Amino acid sequence: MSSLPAAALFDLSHPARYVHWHFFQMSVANLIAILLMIAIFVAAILIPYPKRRREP
Amino acid sequence: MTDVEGGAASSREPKMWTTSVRERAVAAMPPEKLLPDRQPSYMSSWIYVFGVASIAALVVVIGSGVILGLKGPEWWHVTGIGRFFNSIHLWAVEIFFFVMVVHLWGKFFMGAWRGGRGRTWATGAITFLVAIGAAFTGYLSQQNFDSQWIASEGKDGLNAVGIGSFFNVVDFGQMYTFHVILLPVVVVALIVGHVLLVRRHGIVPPYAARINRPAATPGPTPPGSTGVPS
Repeated sequence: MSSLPAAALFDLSHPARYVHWHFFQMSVANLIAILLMIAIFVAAILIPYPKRRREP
Repeated sequence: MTDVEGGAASSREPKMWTTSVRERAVAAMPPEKLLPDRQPSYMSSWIYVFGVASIAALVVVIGSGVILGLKGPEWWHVTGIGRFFNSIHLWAVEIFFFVMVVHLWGKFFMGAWRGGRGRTWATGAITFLVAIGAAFTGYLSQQNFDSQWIASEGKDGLNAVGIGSFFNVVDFGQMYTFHVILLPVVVVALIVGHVLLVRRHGIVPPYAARINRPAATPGPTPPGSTGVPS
């Protein structure tokens, strides 16, 4: 709605975009969320956890 | 009842139920297990962060939800600060599910049900399912066209599986009660039980490492031998 101030970084005033490939159909927003979850899951395993400094 | 004025209680006296509950609670959950000083070294990984991140997100969800409930739909739809708290509530829920899914994946690949931790796994899985219901009723409680659309679409599915008369998604009062009281209480109770079980049994140790030793190379065959063990 044009009378409201921009509340989102992206224009959400349109139908969602979908990825459709054979039987697979998913909105781009959901696909991005799932890919982000996978990326963070892999990063959480690979990135070393900071070690606590030992007191002298 | 224990006679406190007469000195030490007689061992023949029946225990008060409060004594029994306390003794059983302390035996099941000694303070050093409830709030431990040390954790195993294999806990030093980012993958262990997502459980407590889920709880942190839930705290924000409940806090913002309480404010929304106190102020009402007109406030959260019309005023700027109301829309801000509405967004806080929405995005806290998004983060809650996001980190809970990563937590679930991590625990699945760790086999977190091993070593008598089946109830820990089950309470986590049930919490996830109940939280989906809590989120769904939240979409129905928005008081806008979006919630009307979701209700009109959802009722057909729920009627098809025969639960529409018990869980009527077009009944705002019922859905709102589910969303602000019933399901949050169940989610919080399950999470409390889940955390207590984690404290009681500890986190699951890693799978034992597989050591692939190279196959023994056969030495020279002694004279007169076929090389085949008899």
